Amino acid sequence: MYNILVVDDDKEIVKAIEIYLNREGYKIFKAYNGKEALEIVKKEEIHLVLLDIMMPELDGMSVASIIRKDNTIPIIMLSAKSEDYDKIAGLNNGADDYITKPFNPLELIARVNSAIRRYTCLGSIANEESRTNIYRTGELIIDDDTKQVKVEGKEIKLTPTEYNILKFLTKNKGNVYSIEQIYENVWEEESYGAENIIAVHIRHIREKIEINPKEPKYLKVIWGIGYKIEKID
Amino acid sequence: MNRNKMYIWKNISYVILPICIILLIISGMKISYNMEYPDDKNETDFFNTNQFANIYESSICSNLMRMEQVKNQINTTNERYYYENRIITTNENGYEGLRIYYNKNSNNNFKYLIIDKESKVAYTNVNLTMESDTIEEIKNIIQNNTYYWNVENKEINTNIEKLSLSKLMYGNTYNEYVENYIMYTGISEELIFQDQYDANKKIYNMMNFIKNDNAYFIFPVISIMTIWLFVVIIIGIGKKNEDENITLNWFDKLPLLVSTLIILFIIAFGSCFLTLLSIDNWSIKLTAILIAITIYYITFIISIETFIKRIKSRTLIKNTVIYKFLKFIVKIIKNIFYRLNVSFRVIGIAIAIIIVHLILFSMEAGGILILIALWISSIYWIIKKLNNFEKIREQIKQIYEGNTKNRLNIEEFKGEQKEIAGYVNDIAGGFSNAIEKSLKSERLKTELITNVSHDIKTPLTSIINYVDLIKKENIDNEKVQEYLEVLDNKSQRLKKLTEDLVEASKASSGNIKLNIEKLNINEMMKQVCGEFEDRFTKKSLQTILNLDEKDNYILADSRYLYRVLENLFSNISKYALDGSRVYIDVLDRDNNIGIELKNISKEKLNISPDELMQRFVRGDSSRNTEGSGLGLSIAQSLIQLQSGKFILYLDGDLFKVCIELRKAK
Repeated sequence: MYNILVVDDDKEIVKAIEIYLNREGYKIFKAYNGKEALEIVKKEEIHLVLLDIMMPELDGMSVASIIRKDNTIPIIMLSAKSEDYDKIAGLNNGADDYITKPFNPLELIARVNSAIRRYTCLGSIANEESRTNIYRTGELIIDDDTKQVKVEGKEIKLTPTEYNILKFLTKNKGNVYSIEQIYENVWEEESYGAENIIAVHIRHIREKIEINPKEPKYLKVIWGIGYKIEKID
Repeated sequence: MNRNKMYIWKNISYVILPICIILLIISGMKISYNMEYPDDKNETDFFNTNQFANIYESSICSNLMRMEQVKNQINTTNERYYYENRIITTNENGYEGLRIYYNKNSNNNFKYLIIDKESKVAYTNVNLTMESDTIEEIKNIIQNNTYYWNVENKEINTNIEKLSLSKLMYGNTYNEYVENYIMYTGISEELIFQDQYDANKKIYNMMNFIKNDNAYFIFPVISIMTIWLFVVIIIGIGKKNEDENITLNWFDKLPLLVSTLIILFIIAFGSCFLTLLSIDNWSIKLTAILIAITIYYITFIISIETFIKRIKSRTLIKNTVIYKFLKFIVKIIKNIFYRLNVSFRVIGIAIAIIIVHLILFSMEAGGILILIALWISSIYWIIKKLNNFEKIREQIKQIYEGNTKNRLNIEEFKGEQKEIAGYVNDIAGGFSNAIEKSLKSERLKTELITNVSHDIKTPLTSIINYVDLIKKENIDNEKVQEYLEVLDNKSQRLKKLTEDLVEASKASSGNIKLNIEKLNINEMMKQVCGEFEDRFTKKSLQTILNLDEKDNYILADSRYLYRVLENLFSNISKYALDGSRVYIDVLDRDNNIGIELKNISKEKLNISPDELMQRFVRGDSSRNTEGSGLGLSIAQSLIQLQSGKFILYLDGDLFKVCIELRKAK
């Protein structure tokens, strides 16, 4: 049972989030401004904070930086401000993630789960890594012995081609490969124009492994250059 | 140096300057004297100097020449001042029948008596009595002098050491004189008359005021000091106040001619005092000289002051009667000229040119020279005018191309061109103001839209979430399910609309920070096709991707270029006829890369491309489907921001988009 603090001056939004997260089995603490939030963080044992930015008394940016001073709990910003510089400012102020309103409830839940897992069971991942045929980035784990792919603890079903592509990119995480290069490396033969299919496969993989395929966390598209698996420790 | 101090320094310089000039003149004279008579360096007595000897010699020579004239022109005695009408024939012993000619001008320190026994003529300037001088008496008077030079019995007898025979000029004739004449000459130590001896003695004594060696030191030092004083005066003139401007008094404002006349008048006035020099009174003479010099010096100060001030304030030429007159004439001609229309002006100029040529041709050589000078200056003038015209043309071109920041420098132009340049600047100013205003209003609009969209998004979040929660309540009522579906769709669409709205306003106002980089367009097109493969397949659309054999690179912002392609591809997936083909071509052109998308529209396109590009406009029949109607407008703005071109063609049911982007080198 993990405790989540939801901070937003819009009571209805807090209520809705409460309903969603209760279903996932979390205990919810509610705050309607920055000051209340800080008090609750002090008093209760909180495992994650969902924080709005525009609030009376004390805004979300300040709350995040105050919490960060002596606390490592995950903070997810939740704001209608969707400009790039808002996101950057939020992350720089100590937030771990940034979700824009209006949000998709499923995405919210997935991101909350992911953050909680990262915060609570960091140790278990390290154990698995010692094995040789395991490729990992962040919480994407590929076990080449059992041909299993796990993202954030959930097993993902991939076709053999998709699996090979993902394995190749994860093995060489951080490097960018063009369609042609991926084709040649995965099929181990020269490409002859029929490699359009790679882009389609990549899209399918992305839809399967990413929480929000439009803003991928692991499998990134570098437009006009190629694809890569993000290197996350 | 401080301005006020400069003013004081200038006045001090005016006081020191005359002293310097006097020292300069004396030391200069001393140096030149030493150069002329190097032997006299250590002499202190004028009568022992070579200079004295030289003057004495020239006195002898000139009187010998007069003696000749006396002898040869006996009959015209009356006409010469030196043979005074008093001619005495003496019966003295040894000089019987000798005629003595007297020089009328006896006010000379140099005394002489020249006797030619053969032609019985004597010439002297010693005029004792009117009637009965004897040769002996005259001789005695001359020999009473301190310094003498005599010739008796063909022998020279003198006590002037430096007057040597060799120094005497007229070598040949001189010997004849010694052979034939008896001569007595002499000069008294006390110089009674003011003649060249007196003057030279006074100058010599004055020069001795400076020691020989000091002169060589004083002269250069005082020269530099004098120049320095002049510099101080020239800098200091006119700078009375703290500010930069030159202060002109009434005198400086007078026309140059009038000022010059006044100065000349003062000089003439000063010269009046010099006439007093003829009065034989030392104190009056001294006073006269002092007054004259003072007046001259004041005149000098006034002249230099007004002259320098006029130069400094650039009124030296402008403030002349001639300049004012010419300006007046030019103004009249200009006035008449500019009232004429262009054709009359050209005729007028042509006539003027012909007249000038005719006049100058009739003036022979000088005229031709003036004509050539005129031609050269005309060519220069024409080139300058054309140059200025070119500048105006360039400026108009700049405005036409949208660069309204630069302005013409009006001062460079003259006459009508100045007027035109002024208008051009006004137009540029108007344009740049308008552009600035519209940019500002676009910016404000973007800000407003961003803020409003934020305020819309917050309640929208609740709507979307609660709709989702209701859906999860598993209500059996079919109608409720149907209504919920509508709510869900519309709220999602509202979300998309607010996002697009912000993006469109940012794109059209250029409020986007681009990250331009080198991209492989072939790779990009493959990636995008991959992204939409599923959606196209769902609609049975067949993609025909024509890429170049080789990789083509463009300069673009990958994120925003994907945004454009995403909009266009998603339009195709929405509005293309099911089962039709979609053509995607990448074309390599000279300086850019073209991307062409062609598809067949599902519905009749009853609208022009321009209308379709406008915000919130969609083909009538597409109005009810999802989308904001901003896609094409955003796409166009984003391409333009990346220095590209975005063109839309509608031909029947053919929908064609052409994008041109810069090619990377």
